[in-house]
Amino acid sequence: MIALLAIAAILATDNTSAVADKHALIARSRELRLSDHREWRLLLHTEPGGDESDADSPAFFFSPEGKHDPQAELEANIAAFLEPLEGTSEEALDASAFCTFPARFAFLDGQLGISAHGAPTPSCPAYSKWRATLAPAGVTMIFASAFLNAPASMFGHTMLRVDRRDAQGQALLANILNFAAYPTTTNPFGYTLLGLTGGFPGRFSALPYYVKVQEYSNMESRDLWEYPLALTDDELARLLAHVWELDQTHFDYYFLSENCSYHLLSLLEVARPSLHLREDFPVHAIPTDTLKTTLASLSLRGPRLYRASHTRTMNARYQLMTGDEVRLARRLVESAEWDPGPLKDLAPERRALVLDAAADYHKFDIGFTPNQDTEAARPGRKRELQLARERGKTGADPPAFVVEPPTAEPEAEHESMRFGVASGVTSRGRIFGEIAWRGSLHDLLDRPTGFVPYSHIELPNIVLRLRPDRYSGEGRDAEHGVVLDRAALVSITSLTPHSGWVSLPSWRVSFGAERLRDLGNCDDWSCTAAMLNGGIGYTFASRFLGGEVWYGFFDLNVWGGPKLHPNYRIGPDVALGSAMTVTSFWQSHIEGKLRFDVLGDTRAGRWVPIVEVGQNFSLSPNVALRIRGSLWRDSAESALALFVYY
Amino acid sequence: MRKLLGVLAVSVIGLAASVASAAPYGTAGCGLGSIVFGDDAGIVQIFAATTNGTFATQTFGITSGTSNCVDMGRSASIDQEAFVKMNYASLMRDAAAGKGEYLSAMATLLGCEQPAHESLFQVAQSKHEVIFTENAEPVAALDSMKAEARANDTLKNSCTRL
Repeated sequence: MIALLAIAAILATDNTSAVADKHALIARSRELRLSDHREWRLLLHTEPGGDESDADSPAFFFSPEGKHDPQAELEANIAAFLEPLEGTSEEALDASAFCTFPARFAFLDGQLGISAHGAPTPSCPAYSKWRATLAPAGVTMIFASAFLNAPASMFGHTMLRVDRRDAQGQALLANILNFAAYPTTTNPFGYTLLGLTGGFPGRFSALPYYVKVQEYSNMESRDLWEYPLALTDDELARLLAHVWELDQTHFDYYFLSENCSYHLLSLLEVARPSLHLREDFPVHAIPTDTLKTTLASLSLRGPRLYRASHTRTMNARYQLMTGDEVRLARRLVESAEWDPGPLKDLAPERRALVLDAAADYHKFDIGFTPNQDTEAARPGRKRELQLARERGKTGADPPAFVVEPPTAEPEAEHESMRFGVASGVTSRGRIFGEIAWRGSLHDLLDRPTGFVPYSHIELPNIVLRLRPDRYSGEGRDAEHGVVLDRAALVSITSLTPHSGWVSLPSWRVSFGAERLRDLGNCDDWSCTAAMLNGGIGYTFASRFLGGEVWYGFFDLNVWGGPKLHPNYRIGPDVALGSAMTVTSFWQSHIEGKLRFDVLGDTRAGRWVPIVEVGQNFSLSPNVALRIRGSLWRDSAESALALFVYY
Repeated sequence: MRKLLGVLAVSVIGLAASVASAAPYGTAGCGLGSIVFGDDAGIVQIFAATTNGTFATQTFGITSGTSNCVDMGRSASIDQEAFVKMNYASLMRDAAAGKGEYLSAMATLLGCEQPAHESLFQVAQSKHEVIFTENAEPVAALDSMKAEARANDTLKNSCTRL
């Protein structure tokens, strides 16, 4: 009885002292203004300069006000960490505040010493297992080059890889921390809308790097660049502890702003709170820009690595072979009957090369679907096996070669936004000016360093035309002193040169509004028309002039505007053109087009010839001078522009 | 005019989106406690939807796809199995050549000490016809590779996960 009373007394005191501890700690946190501490703000994912958290799940907060009130959340965390454990089962331990929010605990323990005030610090089975699985030795930022054939991948992609302690130098086995949206609809309209407006939940997951290599390098033919970041052990530990906390929440995914690149920056800020990376991206986060910001703030612990895509490696092997060897490799893949006989004429090293090249081409041909034993897949798999076995029989290594990147590293790209001023003259002797702004990213004439060669993507590009003469003199018409020349909301050109093995079509599409240039020198507001055009074509690369591509396109053009009678015009065209890198700072582009207006307004003449020429000189990576000239059937103009990239 | 613009806008965005959303894979978060490997269905789902990189399924450039989560505790060799399933063709090529990134990774997954890697490469090369057979399931190839390694005196003692 006495013993029972004693126990009851101890429990009571314990309880009282725990409550006293809690109040003291909360008071202390207020004194220290801990909820304003940068690390706390980062752990809660409050927006730079605000109180509201980006995290969108209630489970991420102990306080019902947590999303909007960092102080309330901090106090609720102190209380939660001081709670006694609810049992010793694995589930109970894993569910404890300590095991769910290890980074917050470390922060509060460092600032207030909460473990000394009775906060339990149990073992955490799930968290420990996860850490053991990752075996973290460091993190590497990965950049996947742009992929123009998927609308969402045109700006490249960044990922964070956790390198393994136990598999040094074996990147394939490391894990990617991936922030991904989980689409909740398959309806394309809803999909686009929700993707842009935060309608999909985004979550972090971890998956092996080899899955990503399959996806990017093999399936999408994208080169990967790897940047091993120099973080201290403490920083690495904090980063991972925090990623574990993010398992409790999702973030509404905004394609333009709160996307994967943005969230990766927030992880690096948690790792090193003195970094201010996200503040550079209040509106939109383009992956290359986030890469540049990261590299400007963090040093590397090892060399930058380049991992060539399957297609690029395949083409490099193609270049090493003679014409006969190429024909042989192709026959080994394409002939119905397996006949390795002709290989005997080759030296073992050449045989190995031909078989490696054939295996590359075969894989590209049948696709990268992991092996499934289906009736349809069997012939392809059988040939794959035959090629590999024959390769084994050579007993030799092929000649060594290095696959060079097609362009410089992505961080060497010019900046993603562009502002320009221009002045020009029309064939009727009128002087005009231009003011141009482009939100992103690159056209055929911009300095190509770092970009996918011969790619063009503009989102959006707006050009205003100034007519100074309209402000004075006889024909005074100030209302039309400034008119819209072009407003391409989206404009994309993908020129894929014939590569030897395979030939993919080139394509282009653009959409927006433009001044109808072919209605004489029409340049008031009524000359503006909505336009949509797109085409498919073929490109090949040559070295006649030192490295250029030649292309041909078949396009379809649609316009709608008040100056057209009736209000629209539809016409296909045939275009031929060439883009060239004359020197590293001089780009050249010429295109001739013959349009045939078939429907709607055909007053411009049934056949409309158009020629456009441009020469671009980069004065520095982010400043360029451009001369351009255009010729339509009954008018022409030329202009000189100055562009600044920022 | 404004109406026309609107119609054009919607059709272009719709076009782009229909390309982007060809196959929405991944319907729920995996949770970090499990490593996402993708089970068979998941792997098939990601890869079947793509043909030679013409129009990929990638959604908004961010999803990695599989929401197929594997609890690390389910099977002792789950990481080996996932690796072989996903990289069967690359592994088969590396084994024939007796070297390569995928074969090295396999040696690590089999728990082989670094000095023994070369022996595993030799076994994979010399026993290629036994390990990689026509219409073989990847996991069967894994099993026979392990059996061949166990039959090798060096590997038997220096690889811990055979």
